[in-house]
Amino acid sequence: MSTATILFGTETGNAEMVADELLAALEPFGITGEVHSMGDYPVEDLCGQQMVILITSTYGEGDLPDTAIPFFDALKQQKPDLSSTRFAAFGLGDSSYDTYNNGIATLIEAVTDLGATQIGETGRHDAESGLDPCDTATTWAQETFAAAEV
Amino acid sequence: MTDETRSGAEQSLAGAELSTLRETFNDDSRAPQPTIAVVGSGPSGCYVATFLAKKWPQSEITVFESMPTPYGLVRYGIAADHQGTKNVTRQFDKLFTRDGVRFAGNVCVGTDIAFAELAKCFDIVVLATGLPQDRPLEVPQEEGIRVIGARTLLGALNGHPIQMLPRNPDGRYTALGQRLAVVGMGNVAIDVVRLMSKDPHELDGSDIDDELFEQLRPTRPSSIDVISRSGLPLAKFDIGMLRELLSLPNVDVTAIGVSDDDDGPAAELLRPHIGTADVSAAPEETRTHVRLHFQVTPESITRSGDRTLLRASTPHGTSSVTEILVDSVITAIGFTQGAPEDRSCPTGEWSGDNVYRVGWLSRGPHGAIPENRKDARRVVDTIVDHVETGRLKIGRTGFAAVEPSLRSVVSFAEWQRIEAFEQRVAPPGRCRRKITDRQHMLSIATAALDSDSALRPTQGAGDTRAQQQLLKESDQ
Repeated sequence: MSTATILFGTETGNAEMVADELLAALEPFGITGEVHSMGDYPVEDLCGQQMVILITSTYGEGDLPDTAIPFFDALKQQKPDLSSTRFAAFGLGDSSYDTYNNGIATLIEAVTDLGATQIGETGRHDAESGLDPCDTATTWAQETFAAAEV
Repeated sequence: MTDETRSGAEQSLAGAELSTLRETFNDDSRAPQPTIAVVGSGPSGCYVATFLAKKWPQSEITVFESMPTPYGLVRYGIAADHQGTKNVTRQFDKLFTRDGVRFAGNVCVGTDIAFAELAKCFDIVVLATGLPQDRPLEVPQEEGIRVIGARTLLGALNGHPIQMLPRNPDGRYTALGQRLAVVGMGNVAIDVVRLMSKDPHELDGSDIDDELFEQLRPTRPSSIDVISRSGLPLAKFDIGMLRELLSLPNVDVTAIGVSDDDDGPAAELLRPHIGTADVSAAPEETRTHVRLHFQVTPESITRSGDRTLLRASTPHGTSSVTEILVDSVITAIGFTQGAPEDRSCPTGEWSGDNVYRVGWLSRGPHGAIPENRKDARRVVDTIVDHVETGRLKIGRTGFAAVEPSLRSVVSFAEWQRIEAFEQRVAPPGRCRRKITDRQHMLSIATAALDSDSALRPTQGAGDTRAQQQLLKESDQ
């Protein structure tokens, strides 16, 4: 049994819904976890985590959602050592914009710079597809965590 | 550790767990289980229900909606070609299908049930009815001119059953014409400009009402003059909306009234498009010329022959008055409360210790979905505080107390039948064909389950034609 910390950044609640859904989707892999808003999560706590799952939408001109900005800023300022942290990443975006899924890319770069190792491919949901983001995320989680030794 | 001691340890552990369980159970039973009525199933109402359901999973939440269909402006306001934004309904669907929130559609609070009755029967009432009307343009307007509100237009293109658009004697909707003016330059104004500038194939994936669109706008207009009172730095559109407009294949954009000092992303985008108001330089016939006028204030709208003359003042232009001759004027300057005689609109009397307001109804018509979600969060925090501090007493019956007096309530499962039908009859390139007749919606919602197959388009061409005839008739 391993644990994962699922962190979401959201403007419309879609990323939060996906975070809640992933918690359930990871159970069959023997992974239990907790879901937190990035806005409420102290970045220094990341160091002790085996597995972090980052989920965020993109807002405005390829920006992070409001709730993820303080989290991103804190990563940049406090520079926690994440060399023993592994993470998976899932983004929500809209491919009709040039800045499709910039938000998750920004966070991946930030945690990778701090030494964290990404497992699997970055998952992406495209609002233009009309698919339920929960279905896309669940499929992504199954692929990511079946392949990963977690 | 011997088996005996382990067994003893297990027993005492079991005892400890049991007492923890009891505490948890007691905690749960002490946790507030209020009865909650949310009035309006648009984004604000649904977000309030979401946060309340998360906070108090055991509470009884009913979302009342005057239409048989849920989601308010997500269905009827967000432009038909912005399906990605409408995707937020995926979240709200789960509220009703999984989280135990009740949808009571086709119930108009104020006409089908008195507000006072609701406030008496539920512990908490949250009003989320939004702002139902276009804010009128307060300038002198001559009788008989063609001025249409953006809300009315976008609602019609979104298949809203109540159509306020003018019709010809033959019953067809009056075409807007070749030259349009749009007053206002917020996101709603840009929605109007974009939809009017698209060819039908550019609307692939949308659920626009094609029949109405074809009558209203048989061909792309030759020009659209868009008028913003403020200068570019204070223009209200989101930059992404401008970018999208600029990327349309059949549109030429000219920006007029942009100052050399204006900077920022919008100015950068518009810099290559800066021009003059000179209309003599006619654009290519097949393209739509969009002129964005900044710092222009509408003064009056009068008739000029069979056309409409919009007079406006420009403080920084060479002439102090601009005259724009168009076929139709579309106003997109915000939304407002319904008429006093509209009994579904909350009045000042719709108040009380257990009554809360959220979204545009309380904040005014500012901000899109994210801002209204934040407002819903704030309102729910207030409600939770009032209940947890004992300021608000709970224990009222809730939905069971009002149910006997309600007629033809559309449940969420019944709405899903309407939705499934709309998806089944979607024409090529469209994600659904919305039913625009309320009685038709209700007949599908309440058709006996065994007659469901009768509503399903079959393989036989004759059946499909009959089906479409039925649709056509009932949609008129």
